[in-house]
Amino acid sequence: MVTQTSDTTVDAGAEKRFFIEMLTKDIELLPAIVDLVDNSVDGARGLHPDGNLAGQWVRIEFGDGTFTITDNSGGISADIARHYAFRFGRSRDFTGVKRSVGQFGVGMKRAIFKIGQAFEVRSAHRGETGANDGSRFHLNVDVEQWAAQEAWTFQFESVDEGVTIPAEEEAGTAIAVTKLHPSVEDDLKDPAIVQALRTELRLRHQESIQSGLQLHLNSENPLTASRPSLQASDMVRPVFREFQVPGPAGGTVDVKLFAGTAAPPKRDKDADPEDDGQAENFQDPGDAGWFLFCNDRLLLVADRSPLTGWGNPAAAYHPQYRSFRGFVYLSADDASLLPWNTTKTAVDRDSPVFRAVQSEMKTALVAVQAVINRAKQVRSRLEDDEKKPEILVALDEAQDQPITSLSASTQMIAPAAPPPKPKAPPTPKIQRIQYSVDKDRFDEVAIALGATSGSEVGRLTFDYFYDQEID
Amino acid sequence: MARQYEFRPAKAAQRRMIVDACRRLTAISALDQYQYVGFGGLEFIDFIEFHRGLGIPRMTSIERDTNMQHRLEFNKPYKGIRVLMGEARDQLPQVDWTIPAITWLDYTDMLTKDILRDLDYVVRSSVPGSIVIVTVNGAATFPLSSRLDNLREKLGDLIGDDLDASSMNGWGPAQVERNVLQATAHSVSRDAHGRPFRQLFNFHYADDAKMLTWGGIITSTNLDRTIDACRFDDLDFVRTGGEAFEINVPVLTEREIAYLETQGPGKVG
Repeated sequence: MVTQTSDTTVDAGAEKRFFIEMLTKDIELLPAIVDLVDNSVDGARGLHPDGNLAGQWVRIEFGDGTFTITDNSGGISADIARHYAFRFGRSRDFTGVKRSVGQFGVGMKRAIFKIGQAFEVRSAHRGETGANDGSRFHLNVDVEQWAAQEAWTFQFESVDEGVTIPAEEEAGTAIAVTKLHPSVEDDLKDPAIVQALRTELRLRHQESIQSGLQLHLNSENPLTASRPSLQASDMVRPVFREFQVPGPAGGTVDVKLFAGTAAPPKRDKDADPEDDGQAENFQDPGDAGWFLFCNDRLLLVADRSPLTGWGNPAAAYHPQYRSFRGFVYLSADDASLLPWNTTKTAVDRDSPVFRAVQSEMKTALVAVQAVINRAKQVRSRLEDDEKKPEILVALDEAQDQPITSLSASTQMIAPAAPPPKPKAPPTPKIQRIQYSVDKDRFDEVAIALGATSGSEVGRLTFDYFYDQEID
Repeated sequence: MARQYEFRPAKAAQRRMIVDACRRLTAISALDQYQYVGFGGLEFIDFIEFHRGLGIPRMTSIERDTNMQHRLEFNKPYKGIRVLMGEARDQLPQVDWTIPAITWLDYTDMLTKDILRDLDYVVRSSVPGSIVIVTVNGAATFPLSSRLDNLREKLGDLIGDDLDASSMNGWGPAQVERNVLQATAHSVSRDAHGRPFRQLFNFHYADDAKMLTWGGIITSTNLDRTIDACRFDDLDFVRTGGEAFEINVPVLTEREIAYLETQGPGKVG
């Protein structure tokens, strides 16, 4: 132990800065935000064991140098805040936490440190009904100042315990991060990053959103759920393969792979029908492509690059494939088996596990493209008054079904193309010849050929020349 | 069928050699558990050979000329042959690849990237123990001076920089094609099955144009030793490397054929 006060202060600062750096170096901004949202959603789910989340909300807002996340998910009790949520290392007398609370731990502090240099947490916790053990606290930390002080603890700005939170007051947590890191400030202004966050939250929390949770991202309108779904009916079956890939040194990764098509967007009935045919070339790709999750974390969003087989061996992306959707879920108890990079934000393309999965994605993509190509060919030779062939009925009218309802199929199944109508043989091109010759010479040739008419002599002499000189 | 053999004697001999090699697959699985996937054309010669020679019951033929469907249905020798109409790349996914397959992609054109994609798909999709064969034109029909450019145009960066026009005479372009086919199958097979593709066939033949037939077997860590037990190497036409087996069918008289037949079995010549 260092005994001199001045030395201790400096040491603590260096140690803390190093600690913060280590804590945050392996996480990217998006997963950090997603961690915070996960906490709020877990809290909301914990309040409603019946799964009905109506009335629950989580708001994420950022801009003007602040990032805030607010929820009415029940709050953090002062006790848990003191002993666990904002404590580094585990208190000796803190013997255990419920699973949902367990996720606070490192994730929350790490996410906050990742985003900015100062933060404020306000929480109201109702406690057991009638037990009078509700609590409120307010915590306000400037990380630089904290780093410079000796103690590893945070000080509550204010704390009330053993109180009853009135029924009209929402119990929940508000976290506000300020003094954002410059790179975070820039990232939060980047529309692509905001879009990726939106996509991830819609997919990740689709179930909670459908159960009534209102999840707001910089908007009064809550996010709509994005439920992975594919066209399926008694005529169409998307690919659904389930398999395991062994890890390089033992252990296995469970893989679920879904690939197929999404139902065509409903067209406005009043729209000009002329637009129908042309829309294909102009429509933006939207969600077409592959989505890949590792332990429920979204790593690839609508990927249409060679990484997922586009261009090799499958055809490169073209608007005709805009209905393609693929969803791949990799899960493993040991997260180190999963093919992600160290920051868990991107696919490690050299991982043998990924290569095995990639191979399956490639063949699935080719299979779905083949069905799309087949339908396109059938459509292109469809005549106006012709009855719509089954394959087109299937792909135009089958509804999207949640992928969780699909049954296994190694290939995409869709009706065969009807045989093309045989083409009428082309009319041969004809050249007429007419010429006059001496009558005596004609008679000699006619006798030699055994021909009786001028036209016959003409044809036989032409054929004779053709056989001898051309053929 | 003897007439076609007279038409294309080298091709016929090659077909027989490949059927002979496939007979050794019994160490892996009973032959009637295999399926045959090919481009049967109007005559289905290879289908007849594989059915008679190996007893393979399940067969799929892919035909790109969609105007021939009624003729194909008329000409197919066995009712059970499934005919898929359209480009190979669109039809191949309709094959049930969970069944071990002998797939012969018998093209008449020279090698292109589209053909490599078909190969990629088949190698990826087939289960270990499956045979994959590709026939392409030996790319020697162009003037000597433009052959290398032509290969580069078709195959791009897959063609190494160390080649020059002097390596383009005779079977030179076919050797390049074989290297590209093997390299593709090698890496695809490693991705999909964890082990490189094991080449068995590298035939050069010329009934008319110079043709290359290359192929081999998909293996896996579990299957490698079983494939060793098939002893493909014992067949003198099997080629596992860059050196090709050139098929030259001598033109013999009836009397000579009859004499040779009295000399078997055993090695002739």
